[in-house]
Amino acid sequence: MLTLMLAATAYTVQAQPDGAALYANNCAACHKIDQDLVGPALKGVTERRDEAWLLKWVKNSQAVIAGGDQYAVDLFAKWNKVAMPAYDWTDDEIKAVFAYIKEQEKVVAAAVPSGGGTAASPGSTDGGFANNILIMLMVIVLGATVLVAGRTVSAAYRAKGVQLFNWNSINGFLFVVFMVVFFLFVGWHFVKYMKFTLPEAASLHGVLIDRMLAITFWLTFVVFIITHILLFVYAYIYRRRDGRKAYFYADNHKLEFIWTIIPAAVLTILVLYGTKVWREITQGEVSEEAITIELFAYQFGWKARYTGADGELGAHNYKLISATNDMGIDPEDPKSTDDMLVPEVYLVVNKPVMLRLRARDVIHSAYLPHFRVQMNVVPGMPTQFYFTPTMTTEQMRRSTGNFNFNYELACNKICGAAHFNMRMKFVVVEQAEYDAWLAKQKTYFKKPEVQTASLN
Amino acid sequence: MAHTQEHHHEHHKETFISKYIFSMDHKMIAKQYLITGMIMALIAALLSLLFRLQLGWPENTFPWLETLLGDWGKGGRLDPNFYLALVTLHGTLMVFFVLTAGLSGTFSNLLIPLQIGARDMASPFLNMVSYWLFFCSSVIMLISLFIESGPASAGWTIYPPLSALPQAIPGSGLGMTLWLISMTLFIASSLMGSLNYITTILNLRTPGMRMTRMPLTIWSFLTTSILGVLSFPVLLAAAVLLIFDRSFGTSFYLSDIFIAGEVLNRNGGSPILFQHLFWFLGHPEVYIVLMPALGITSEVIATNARKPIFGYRAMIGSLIGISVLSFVVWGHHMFITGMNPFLGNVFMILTLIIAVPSAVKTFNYLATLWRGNIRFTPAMLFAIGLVSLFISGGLTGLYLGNAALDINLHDTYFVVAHFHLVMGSAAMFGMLAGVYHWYPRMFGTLMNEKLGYLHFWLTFAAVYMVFFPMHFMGLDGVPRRYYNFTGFEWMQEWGDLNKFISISAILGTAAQLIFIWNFYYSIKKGKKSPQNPWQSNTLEWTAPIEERMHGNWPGDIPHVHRWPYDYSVPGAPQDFIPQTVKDDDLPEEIRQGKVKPAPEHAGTPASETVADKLLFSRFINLFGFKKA
Repeated sequence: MLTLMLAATAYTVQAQPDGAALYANNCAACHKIDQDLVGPALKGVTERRDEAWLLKWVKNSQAVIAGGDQYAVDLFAKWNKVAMPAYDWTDDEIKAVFAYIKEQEKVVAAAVPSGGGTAASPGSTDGGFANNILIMLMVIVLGATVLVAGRTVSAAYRAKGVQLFNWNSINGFLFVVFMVVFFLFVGWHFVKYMKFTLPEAASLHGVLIDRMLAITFWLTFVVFIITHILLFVYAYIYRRRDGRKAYFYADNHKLEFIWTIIPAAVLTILVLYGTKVWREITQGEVSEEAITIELFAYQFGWKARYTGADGELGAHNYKLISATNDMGIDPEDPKSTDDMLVPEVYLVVNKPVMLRLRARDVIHSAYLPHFRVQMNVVPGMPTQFYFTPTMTTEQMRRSTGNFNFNYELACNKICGAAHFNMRMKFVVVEQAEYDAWLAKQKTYFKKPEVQTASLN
Repeated sequence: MAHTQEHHHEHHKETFISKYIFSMDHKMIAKQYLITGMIMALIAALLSLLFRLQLGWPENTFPWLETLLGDWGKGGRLDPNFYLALVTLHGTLMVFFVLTAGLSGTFSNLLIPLQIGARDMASPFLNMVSYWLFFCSSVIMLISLFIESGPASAGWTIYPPLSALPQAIPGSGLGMTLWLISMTLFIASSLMGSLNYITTILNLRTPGMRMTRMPLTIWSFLTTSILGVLSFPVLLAAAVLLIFDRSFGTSFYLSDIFIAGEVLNRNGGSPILFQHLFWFLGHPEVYIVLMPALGITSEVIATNARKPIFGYRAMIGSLIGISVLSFVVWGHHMFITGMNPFLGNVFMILTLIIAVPSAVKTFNYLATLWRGNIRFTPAMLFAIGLVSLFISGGLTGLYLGNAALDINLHDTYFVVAHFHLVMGSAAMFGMLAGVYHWYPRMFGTLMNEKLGYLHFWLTFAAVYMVFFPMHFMGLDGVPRRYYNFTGFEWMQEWGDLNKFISISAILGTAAQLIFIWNFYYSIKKGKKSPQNPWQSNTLEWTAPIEERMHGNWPGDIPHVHRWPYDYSVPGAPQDFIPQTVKDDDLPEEIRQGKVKPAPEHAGTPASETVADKLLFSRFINLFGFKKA
């Protein structure tokens, strides 16, 4: 369903408030149309409450609760006291979102029969699960049957004085069988799932990380295979047999010295190379023409702020955060007047970016796996990550063959109920397209009256 | 002896309460730890199945969930908050209650006095208190499942501010308070236990039991206890400061926070401080979990391969090396927290050095198996399984310990795969190996071997089926602790694999029922065990197995004359020489050191050596009919 919404947002005209985009960027983390999630299902929300109340609620739900509105207080309590963020939207924008919800209700309702309604085709939604359970039960029954049969047969032979099963040898042999099946299992995973893993890195430093990864992989893979062959094959060929005696062999200093030195030497190489890459990524030189973007994480979403023409972000103070200034930007600071708030982050290909990271409530983590970028976002401690994207969204779509591809920012530090839904789209474009996009963005302080917001 | 007389006198006065509940006998306390640990393991496994259900079938509804969980399973779906509570509790129970208390508590208690030749712990009373604190802490932790706001939900690492602010997540209300109280008791219990183990090992060794004659189990318990004593207090400090932040308005970990519509008046703290304190315990903790399992494995492999453990002193050295290094690597959990990148370099170097002693251990295990005469008891199967898991999980440590690679792998399923293999499953295998191996010592009976084989093979397969595929999800940047993977386009392709993992997890858990049945059934109905069922050298098998008396040995305590690994000594009448055997009792040629271990004493008939070289040629004989 979310993909549907995304598809709907992709090519809409910007002139009117875009309900779909607003919904996807702000509501979808916690709400679904037809299902309760972190917050209630939004289906029929405009029937449940009148519009005036809803407008008040969306603009500042905490104020409605503080005002003692009984419905609001109960609602807040019912949903685990997770506060809905305040949205500094115009009435038209909020109504556009409601219109979008109405529209989606129909889509969802239409999708139900084909998606496998419980009445129409019982078992089709639960089918996968039921089948799996059935298969498991069959395996268990089969196992039990084999067991019982084996017992009966071996008891019959034992009565004749013949030991049918030599369990020690069977177990030893099973290690070899296990090894073969295990290696096939591992190989099958590489064949089937390697292509699901991340495509080539879309950033300069990402290439270094991938190279480091490849070196580490081949090294560990060789050790993995060799040690496992030794382990399982030894288990088989040195299993106990009549007349066999173990070889008393307690020590060999030369051997131990060798297998201490070899790992140590290999690790030295890994460490040296690793520290080099790490230093280049974290302590490299910062270019002056880098685009500075502030990413602001909160429960449960992201906001992004661009510097505007002056190239510098305005000052901020968490004490300034309010319903109308939800990033706590200092309106007195002249640098903040041209700062821009954007719904999606645009980057220029091959132009370095400095992400400045700030959190409002708890620790989050800004994770952009396609760029090999990750840094925690910590309240009270600004962090940053510097990188250069090297592939536009278009290039990535072509190279992966996936034309729905988008770079997306995810949260990767447990932060609460909708942790799994903190999304923000990143788009990498050429300079010209970036300039055109930037020209359309609104400044953070769009209404003059906001500037009177005072310290709490 | 006077002591013995007195002891028997005590024995007769024992009531049900003093024998089974407030027991001061280390063997009974070991059983208490084991059974409590098993119950906690079962609960933790069931919790994991609940969230695996959600991850495997995110679009399905299961009406019985609502019946079982009420509001947390409204409409047959797990509540996202409760999902996080499940993840948190699963981690906490497994890491602390099962693999720290259940594993160390059971085997340190059982084996330390028996294997070093002591009548009991240095302080049996402290030992009893330690168990009962652990019991109370377990009960409190489980109570949090029955409160309205739910159990702690900030992950087992409980990073503030999420864990400090009830506004942030419902589980950070009463649930978190209970978590902190429970863990405080747990830490007290663990410290009492550890101090007792260290004192006992250092002071109560029987004559002749030099440090370099101790079994590797005892060495691993010693290093584990030292780690515990030095690192758990730091977690206690972290927890106390968190309690202050939560309940008394301090700001050790809080700063610049706006939450639930208001600015918090908290300034100057640092959430990162908590992480430093937490991981100062947290990293040694993984070795606290793993080292006893490695000790048990050393003992089980040597006994069942009928060979001395290869490189006994190197094994001790690597235990000490791992212990020392484990205190200076905690930063590798924090590469991308915003910690100074220079520190990243330092922690990376120190972390990767740990791979050296770990590699030495692995090679020594392989060398011990080499040219052995391996008897596959269920314990031996699990010990070999542990070596495999230790290799598979350990190697991925080289990825995660590398700060550059950690940027993209941190907190993804790659990490989940890594620590579930190397710490979770490996330690669990060590624990199971220990239970199978010392079960006769605990209950005087033998467990059913064939059920043990079945249990092992199902578990071994299930562990790899569950955790191996997760590496690939991690390489695709799929984050851990996500309620579902349906939102992000790039994660959606993992739906089928998640189903496979969930089914494997259900199978793996079901296989544990075989073990639990075998365990309880065999207590009363199992075959009677001989005095020394595995023909082992160590002292625990010299104490009477029939009568499990408080004081362990009816007469004098045994004296020790040799190291514990004299297996298959050339020229010896049997393939083992218990530690109590004096040199005078051995044949002349061994005593004078004239027999040197050499290939000609290996005893493998020439005809078999050829077959050995053709690895698989002999399996036809597997099912060969032999006269019993």
